[in-house]
Amino acid sequence: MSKGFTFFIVVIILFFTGSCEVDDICTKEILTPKLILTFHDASDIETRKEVDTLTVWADNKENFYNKTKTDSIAIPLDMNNDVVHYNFVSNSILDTFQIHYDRKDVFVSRSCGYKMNFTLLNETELTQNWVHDFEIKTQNIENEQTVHIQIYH
Amino acid sequence: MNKRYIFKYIISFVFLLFINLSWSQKDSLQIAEKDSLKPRLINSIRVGVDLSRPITQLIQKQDIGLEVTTDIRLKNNWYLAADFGYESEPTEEDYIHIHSKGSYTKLGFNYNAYENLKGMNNEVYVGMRYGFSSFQQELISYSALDFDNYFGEYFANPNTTFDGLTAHWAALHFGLKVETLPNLYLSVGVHFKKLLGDKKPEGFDNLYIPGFGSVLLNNNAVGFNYTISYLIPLSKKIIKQN
Repeated sequence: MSKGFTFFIVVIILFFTGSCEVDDICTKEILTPKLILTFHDASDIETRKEVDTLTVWADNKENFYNKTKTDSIAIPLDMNNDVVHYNFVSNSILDTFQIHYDRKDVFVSRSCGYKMNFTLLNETELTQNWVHDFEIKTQNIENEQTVHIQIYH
Repeated sequence: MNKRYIFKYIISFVFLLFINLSWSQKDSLQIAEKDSLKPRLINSIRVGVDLSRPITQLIQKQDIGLEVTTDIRLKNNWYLAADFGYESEPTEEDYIHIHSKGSYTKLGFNYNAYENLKGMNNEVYVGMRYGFSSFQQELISYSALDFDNYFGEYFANPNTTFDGLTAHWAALHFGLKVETLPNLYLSVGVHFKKLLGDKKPEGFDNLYIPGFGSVLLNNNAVGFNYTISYLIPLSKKIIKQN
């Protein structure tokens, strides 16, 4: 083989170099996001206020949070339904949260398959026993980096 | 998925052994016939079929495909090559199941880097191809992942077909061609491919492109072939050997 041809082959090989891995790894960040809720002081909504003993569960499910002291929670939405009923208990007082949303399947990659994005609807309701009020801050649930709902208590 | 690759590798190794055997056999034959042979570097066309597809089909019933390969000798050691094929291939990943179907064409050249003994016509070749595929992908089913699995898995059966998809790529081929019987060649080769461009389905991606293969990270793909081909002499013109 002539030198020119060898050089040509080397250039081509460099062009083709690259990994033969199938795909990237699926991490929580790129998959179906959870609903992010933060708890705020009802008299000063800019300030976060912790809930002393918060227990959270969806109807007919186990506790997702159990007597936790926190000012923010992340709860999953039901991918097979357009509505989910959550129960929030603080100091033995119950409030029920009816979350309505639209669902959209989004392709992620070969090895991760699909994820689901949600859009919160205005029918979403929260009873007001220990909770004073709530506000939807971000309608579209596409990641867990933004706060979707603020709860005032 | 992994099992399928293992099968392919086993078959390729077996085939390699087979080729080595036939090569050594050829040497002894050649010595006996040597006197009567002139350099047979004549203008010729070679037509063959890729055997790897039918063999894979025996194991994986749903993988249907056929590739016809042709090459024409332009001058000493340079061949103009064209491959035509059809593939119907399911891809089953952990969370996604698709089926791709389509036909493709690959055009390019091969360069033989092997210096034969007088009267032998074997090749160790490198080649380049430009490939083009026109295909469809059927999205059969998928599931969406939720790490907590609090409500259970979500599974969808859309059975959507994405039509009118196209892709084009460049490929680098390496391989051996051995003349086992007069004018009958067996060859084995590997292909490294790089996708140059593709028309993606809306809200989805091309996971398997007929002729190109599984689209790996960085738009790469690898392939292989075991081809049986027959050389048809076109003219008596003897191409000057060096």
